[in-house]
Amino acid sequence: MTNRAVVVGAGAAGLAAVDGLRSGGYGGEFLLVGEEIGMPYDRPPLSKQVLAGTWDVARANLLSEAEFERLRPNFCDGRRAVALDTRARIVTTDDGRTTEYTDLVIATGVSPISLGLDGVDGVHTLRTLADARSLRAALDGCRSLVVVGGGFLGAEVAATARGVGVPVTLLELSANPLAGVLGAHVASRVVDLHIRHGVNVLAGHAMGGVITGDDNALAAVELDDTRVIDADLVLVAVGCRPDIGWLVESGVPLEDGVRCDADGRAAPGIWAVGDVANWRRRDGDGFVRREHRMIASQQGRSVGLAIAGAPLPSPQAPFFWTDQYDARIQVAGELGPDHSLRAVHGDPDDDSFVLASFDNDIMTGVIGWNAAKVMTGYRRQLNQQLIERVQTGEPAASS
Amino acid sequence: MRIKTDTEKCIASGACVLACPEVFDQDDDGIVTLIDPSPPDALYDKVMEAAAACPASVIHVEP
Repeated sequence: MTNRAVVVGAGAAGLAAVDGLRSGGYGGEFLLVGEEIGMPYDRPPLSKQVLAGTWDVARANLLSEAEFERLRPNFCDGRRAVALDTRARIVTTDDGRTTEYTDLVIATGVSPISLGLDGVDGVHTLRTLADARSLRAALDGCRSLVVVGGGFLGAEVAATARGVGVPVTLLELSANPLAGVLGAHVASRVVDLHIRHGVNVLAGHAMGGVITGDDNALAAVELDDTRVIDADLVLVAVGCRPDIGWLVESGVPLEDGVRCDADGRAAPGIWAVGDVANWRRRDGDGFVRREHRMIASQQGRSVGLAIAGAPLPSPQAPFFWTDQYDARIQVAGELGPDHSLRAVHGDPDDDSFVLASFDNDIMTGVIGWNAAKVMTGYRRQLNQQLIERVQTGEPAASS
Repeated sequence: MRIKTDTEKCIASGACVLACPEVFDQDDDGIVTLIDPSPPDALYDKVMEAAAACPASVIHVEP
């Protein structure tokens, strides 16, 4: 057969892989398989503009109508991959169809952990556009929302819900929400922001369970102490698990997602990108799986180009962001421990600043608060350092 | 080539500036601005790289 690249998963990472195949001048045919039906969409707006209702859902589309038409002949939507035979190089989808591949890109993403509450009326998770629509509808006239989990998703939903006037309780197991990813200072600024906007922040507490009333409808949330919080809506945002169930029998190396080398190769002819992918670090020991939007684009495109035999893009320092209320928070590179952080732009108690993390005077990462333009310069510097390290084979200062 | 940007969707990542500083810049809030909306064809690959790098699908390139 002619060469065929099959990309399983039609989110940002899968589409970036298609983009890489095309840009790299891939000589074979390609097929994109997506579980959901219709236009591929972007996820970051789901917890913000789409949930707030300020954007029509079509604004979250990843493609223009013209681009979607161009993709159509190569897009099998509404189909979930259910099995992989690596010896015969065949993917089986839930409609029973089998597809041969020469290269397979696994981009199946992650699914939210539901804490076993998915049958309870009023308990939601947020991952898909359908989830966002359903949560959006539930926010209308909501009496009390409890967000379980104070990570980015939970915090963003709390901010959005406050924006539409819904009373919110934010429940987070850690005593210092977000401190692990943003550092103590910025994390406490975010928590203050939530408190100032009227969010009831309960840090250091877990959900004990839910109390349901008639027809299995949610009535209240029990905490891990004796407290009970009245709630007609709960969002469970305690994290996700990689969607690798269909690969369990395949022999593809699975460990916290699909384990890959530093170029995204999991096995001969098999690649993984995006949230599901656990890549070997290019500049140090170990592996890293990151559920960040930017990684999806970078890994997807890079693997698409690799399959096409085209030159690979330069490595880039990791980057992620969160927008909450009027704060735009961006992180690039690797943030070290709190004592390694110092201000390099603005005043950290003001409304625009950048903190940088240093290890032996070498900058390892930066975090910006409403300082997007300044951040770009630091990112250029971090990218340059990374390229030099990869060329010389030196490990990262921080790892 | 002609470049269009949907600035309302821009999340100020600066990815475009890192990929192609000849064409893209940021305003004080970090939102994308165009130095040259009709750049020379010699920049085509870099512009396409910028469009691909954008994590919010803000950049559209027309031939």
